[in-house]
Amino acid sequence: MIRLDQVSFSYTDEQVSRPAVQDLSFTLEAGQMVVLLGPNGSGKSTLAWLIKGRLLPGKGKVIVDGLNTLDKNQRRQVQNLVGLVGPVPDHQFISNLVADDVAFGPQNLGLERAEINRRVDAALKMVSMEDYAQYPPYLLSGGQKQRVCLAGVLAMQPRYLILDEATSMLDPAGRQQVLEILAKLRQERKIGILLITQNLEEALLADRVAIMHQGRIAIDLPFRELAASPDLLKEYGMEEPPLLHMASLLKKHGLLPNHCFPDSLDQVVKALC
Amino acid sequence: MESAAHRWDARSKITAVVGLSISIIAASHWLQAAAAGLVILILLVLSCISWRYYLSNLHLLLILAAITSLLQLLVVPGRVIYTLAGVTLTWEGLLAGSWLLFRITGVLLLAAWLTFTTKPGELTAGLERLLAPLQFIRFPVQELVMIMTLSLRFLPLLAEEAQQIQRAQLIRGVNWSKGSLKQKGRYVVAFIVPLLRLSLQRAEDLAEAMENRGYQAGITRTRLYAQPLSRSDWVLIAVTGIVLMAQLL
Repeated sequence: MIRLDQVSFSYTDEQVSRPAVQDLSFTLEAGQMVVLLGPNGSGKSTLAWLIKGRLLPGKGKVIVDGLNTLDKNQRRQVQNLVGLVGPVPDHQFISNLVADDVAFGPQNLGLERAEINRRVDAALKMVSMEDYAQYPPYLLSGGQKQRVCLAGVLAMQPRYLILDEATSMLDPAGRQQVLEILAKLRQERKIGILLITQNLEEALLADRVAIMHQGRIAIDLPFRELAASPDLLKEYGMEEPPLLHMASLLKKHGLLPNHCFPDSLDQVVKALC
Repeated sequence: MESAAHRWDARSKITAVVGLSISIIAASHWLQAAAAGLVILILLVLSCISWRYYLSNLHLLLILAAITSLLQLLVVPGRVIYTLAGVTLTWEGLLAGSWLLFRITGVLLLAAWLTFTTKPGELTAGLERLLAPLQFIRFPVQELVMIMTLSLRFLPLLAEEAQQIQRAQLIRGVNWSKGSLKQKGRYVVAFIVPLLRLSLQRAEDLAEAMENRGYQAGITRTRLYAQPLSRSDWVLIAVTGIVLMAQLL
């Protein structure tokens, strides 16, 4: 389990100190998917880096499976347990060949070559990119690139996965592909997933939705509870996704039962017919 | 297509390229040059890559080599072949020019052969293993090879950034083909400064991505391409050695 206890962190230079995260407490369990929403500058990426052990809390502590990121020896293990995928795929490629790029992480773990090859094959298959192993990454589409980045992290077999706006630069089809992979990872590998996004529609698959505001977790609720409170969303500058807005209108007019939270248009049609 | 040349280990290919390049540059007799040239020709045939592909990728460099050779033809004094408008062509110039063209073409073809038949990862891994003995004198071989890998990664990225800056300038009315020399100088500065800034930003992004995937300077990394040399690799090294030895005779 990932646990943040009363964590604070500020970006400082010689003149100013800007608090990015303040007294933040948060948990993520293995096999759980939490969507983290919030406007730019609310501290979402800082939170991701604190969990990954790339930033250290000024106050409080970050514990990942019992390992404290403040401990230098334990931090290295934490960094291997937590995989982080960033928003721009082009900035995450290290090698000139998809297979070599996916192998980069396992190579750093010092694994046997046969094991590395096995992990590379499995990771590429997981993201349906096995046919592109010998391609240069820059020849791939945006969605394919992001899937390769995901494979690069999965090949390290992390227990937790953080996607920091990893779907923000993708078209709807590419975004859908990544979300389907995440659902599969969660079910089959019991990986704990923290999906940082600006898009509430991606929260449909999540167990919980957290909203960050000015460096704090302002809301941490199961998705259904949040979806049932559109005013709460508006309060934090979030727009209700069109599908949920339609569902709430249908409920208001008694056309849809109150317990129904559709995650696709097909479900709405089914409920109506 | 996977040819015999593609299957050879990068170490034997790098050895062959370095050895044959030295041979062709150091050759003082036509027989020595012919031996090196013949081996290069065989290597090109074994790569199963069409001549057209080699030429299309090298044509600019070959034109440059031809111009350099032509200058030799014009400036080397000796027995006159022909004089036209004050320019004298000599037999010695012709010989020197031909030698130079032969040598440059040979080296360029070898370099192209190596890069066309070897994956970038194999190339850097081969170099790492060849330079491994230097680690005993604390030479940072792994770091050097990582720099090479990243440089190879950076080339398409830089080209893309350069294109983007050029497009952005074009939209803002920059026309490279018009304007005074001073104006063109300004355009160059306006092009280079953002390119440098973006390059530094990309370098930082890359460092972050590497650290995110567990890279740290000095860690023991698994070599991805580390198979033992095969019999055909040894044959290639031996042939290179023979050609190199022939230069001493």
